[in-house]
Amino acid sequence: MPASPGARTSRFWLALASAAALLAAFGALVVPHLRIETNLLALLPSTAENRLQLDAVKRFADRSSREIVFVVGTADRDLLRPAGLAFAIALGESGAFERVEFSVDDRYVTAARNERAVRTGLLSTRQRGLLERGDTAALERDALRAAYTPLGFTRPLSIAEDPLGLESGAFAEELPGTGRARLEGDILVVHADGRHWTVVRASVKGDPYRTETHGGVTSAIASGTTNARGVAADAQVDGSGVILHAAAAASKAQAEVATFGTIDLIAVVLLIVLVFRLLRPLLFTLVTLGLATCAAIAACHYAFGQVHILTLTFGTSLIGVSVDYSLHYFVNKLRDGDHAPHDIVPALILGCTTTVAGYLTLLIAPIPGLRQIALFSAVGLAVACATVILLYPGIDRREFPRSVPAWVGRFAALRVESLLPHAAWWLVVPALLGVTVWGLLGLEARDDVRSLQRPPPELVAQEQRVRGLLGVGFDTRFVLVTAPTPELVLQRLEALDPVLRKLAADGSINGHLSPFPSLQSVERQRRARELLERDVYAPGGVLDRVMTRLGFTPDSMAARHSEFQSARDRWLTPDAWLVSPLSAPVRHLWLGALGGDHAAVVLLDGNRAADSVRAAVDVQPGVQYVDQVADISHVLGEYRRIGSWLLLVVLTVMVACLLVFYRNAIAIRTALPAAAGIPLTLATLGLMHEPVNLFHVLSLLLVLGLGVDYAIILREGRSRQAVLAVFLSMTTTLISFGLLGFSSVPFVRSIGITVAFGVAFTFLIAVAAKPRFGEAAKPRH
Amino acid sequence: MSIARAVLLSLLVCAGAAQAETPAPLSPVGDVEALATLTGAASRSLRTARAIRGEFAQRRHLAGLTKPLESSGSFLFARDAGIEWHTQVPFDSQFLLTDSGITQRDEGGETLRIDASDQPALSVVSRVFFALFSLDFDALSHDFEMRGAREARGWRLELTPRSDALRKVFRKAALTGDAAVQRVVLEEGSGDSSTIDLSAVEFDARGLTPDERRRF
Repeated sequence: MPASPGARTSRFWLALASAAALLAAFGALVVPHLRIETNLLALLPSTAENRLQLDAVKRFADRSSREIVFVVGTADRDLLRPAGLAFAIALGESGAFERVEFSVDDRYVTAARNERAVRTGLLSTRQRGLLERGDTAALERDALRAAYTPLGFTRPLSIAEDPLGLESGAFAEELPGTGRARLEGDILVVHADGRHWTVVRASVKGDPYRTETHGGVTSAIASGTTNARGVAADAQVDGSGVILHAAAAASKAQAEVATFGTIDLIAVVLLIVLVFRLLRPLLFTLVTLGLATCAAIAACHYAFGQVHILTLTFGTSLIGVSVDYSLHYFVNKLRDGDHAPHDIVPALILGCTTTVAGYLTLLIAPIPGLRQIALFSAVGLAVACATVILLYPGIDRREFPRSVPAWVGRFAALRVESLLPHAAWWLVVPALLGVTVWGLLGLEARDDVRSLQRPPPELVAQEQRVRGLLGVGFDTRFVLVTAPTPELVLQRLEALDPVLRKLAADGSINGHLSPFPSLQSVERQRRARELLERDVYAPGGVLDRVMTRLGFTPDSMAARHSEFQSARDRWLTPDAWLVSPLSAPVRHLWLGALGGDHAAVVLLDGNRAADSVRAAVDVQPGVQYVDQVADISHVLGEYRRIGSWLLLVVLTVMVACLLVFYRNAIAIRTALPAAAGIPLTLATLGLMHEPVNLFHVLSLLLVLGLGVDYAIILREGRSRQAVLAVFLSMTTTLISFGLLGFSSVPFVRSIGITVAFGVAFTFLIAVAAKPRFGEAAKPRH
Repeated sequence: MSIARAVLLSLLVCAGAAQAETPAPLSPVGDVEALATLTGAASRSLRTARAIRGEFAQRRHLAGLTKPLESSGSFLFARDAGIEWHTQVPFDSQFLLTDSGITQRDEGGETLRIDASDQPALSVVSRVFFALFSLDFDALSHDFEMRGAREARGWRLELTPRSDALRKVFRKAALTGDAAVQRVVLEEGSGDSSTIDLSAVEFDARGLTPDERRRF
């Protein structure tokens, strides 16, 4: 090492000060503001075609993630309302919800009456159609039917106030249906499975992807359920909402971080104690781990504004990987005959660079989650390596009173050629090749993003019960309508409406939910008033004829006319609508201003023919069919293919480089671990019937880095220490990633099993194919 | 509880008989037995009837009108299918009310269909109409407070909605009858009111004829 003792000392103090500064900054600046993200979608690539779509999808996702629909069921109908009420009250009192709706009141009818002056331009589809066709006879007939038959009983306004039922018609059409639920008394009720069910809707307060929010919501639901059971012992509560999934995923991930982290740490401690039988390496290693973890979390906090819970799950593997540098350092100090410790700094830097490079390849995929994991691991490893190189020599000055354990010698003597008689290889190698080919042929790819997320079956069952009971099937696919002005958004929603009605008539969808017809464009309202002026309110028009026929006095007829005239130029505008109680059922679909544009969402109920829906909808100007699941799956598939090619290219380039630097035989021996380990890993996945996705492929890039690492260290070190170092490094990596293989999150599991198998195979091959210690090779320096 | 009510009701019956024409004070009808005791013969024939046929005459009093709107026709109640309300005067119009919604057919042949799932208020109208004929306590008690009294000739039952939402549709419904429901007075939330007189009521334990069933 060319550095002078003085330079080395000042470098040490600088490093020590940096470490202290890192810990202080972590405690004071990062921890108080640390935001743990639990939204799995945040990990996935955005498939938005532009900024507007991206913002719109985000805003809608944020709003709809807050909504939960509960059904409360009892066998005794008399206990249904009290049980539902007990549940709703508990939710309301918990403070975790912004809004809890249970009993149905008269707010909609009251609002429709209060806002009559701005509602004269709203017409039901039927009445507007009749007016457009000039079918005034039908309009008259409808009015008389309503006056004489029970049909009139459904109207919120009296016949004197609204003789033609125009306002009543528009009002009835704008309230969304209640599916299979019916109003009984003041609650919505469904009778099914020998039970009675009522509906409670709630909207969560706070960020639906924060763990604090989850805690509040989960405990509110639990205490609500307890209260409902206090009223009716058999009360059953089922819920459906994105936040329930988020909460379940987050609590599972937290449990995994704790379990994996603890097991990993215990394994590392045991390994160090067994190999070194000294306290010093253990303390040093733990401090290194602490520094690496703090730095990794801080880096993600500053780079992404939050740390994803799955990054932390994955981050537990940092324990197993970053410990390598400490292990290398202490293994090198073990005595082994007359073999003196050599300077391992170049090897550490080389090893760290290749592994960090492996993680940085994860950055090629534009998947935010993977980028975070890559940054987390790269920073953690770099800090761990720097700690070993810069801090250890300054503190650890004493001699190391231990030698290389005897078993390492036997292990190091292991050679491929000596394992079996020469002739046997002619059987083993083809057999192994055969199994590998068989496994590779059994490989299949599955890029469906839904297979990357596995919600708890209990939650899925609850969701299905709620959907089944209420008879509505809105899913994650929706239609986005954008335009430069709110008026234009509304006009586009209006143009979309007949398209969706036709799809419903074809059976492609059951129905749809849109801000229209609750809110309508001024253009449409103006046109409606023109039609009304022409045929209804003209002297001797439909209004006069109907009112005369029913026997109304000229005074009351005049009152209707003047009411209509005084409402001239008064329109229902988005601003007025947003504050009206009448907008409540669909308010969340009106996204409002996004940058310079405006947007709204239309939900599809029972979308059975996605392709024809997309085709019919996408041709409309300013309308986009959004299917994030399909789009993300498509992107994952694309990147899996790109990743596979990249893997092949990297492997080829690597072999080419090694062929240039080393003699042929040595090059092949060095490349063999990675080159053979990867097909073996893939074959194992095939034999396990594990469908391959992008995450498996990216893990193989990591395996490639580690495999080359092992081969190089064994080649360059050519000592028992090197064998021990690689063995320890492999063991800790295997434990860490093997644990991830038990994760409930499918993509973490994919990475876990791929790296675990890959590391095991490459290590075995690297040890078997390593050069003899005595073998002459080009020295590095 | 039910015994107490029965006793109370029988006392009311006596009181009603003694006071002759003055309307008896109403008392709450809290359960099935109380309703059966109150309505006597009507509830007995209702319990066995699969179908009820009869004639109706409706007078609708609208705000702003001095003269009520009068209509008449026939009705058919089928326990398992729904209600057919066939207006014949002043025009021919068939109104079918089932669990799934409303269908209205005109002499012109035009059919108007409204699904109950699209309009929550419809199911309320539908239940009130069912109640007029079937006096189904369980179905009624969730929506309405019931108060009743025996009267000189028969009984009187008043239904008041339990919720504000319902009150916007029906403020109050009053039924009077003896062996069958005779008169229904509906006070609508809008302020209009209707009086429906039922006559020639016929209870049928066999249910609908095949011809009638086709109409639902």
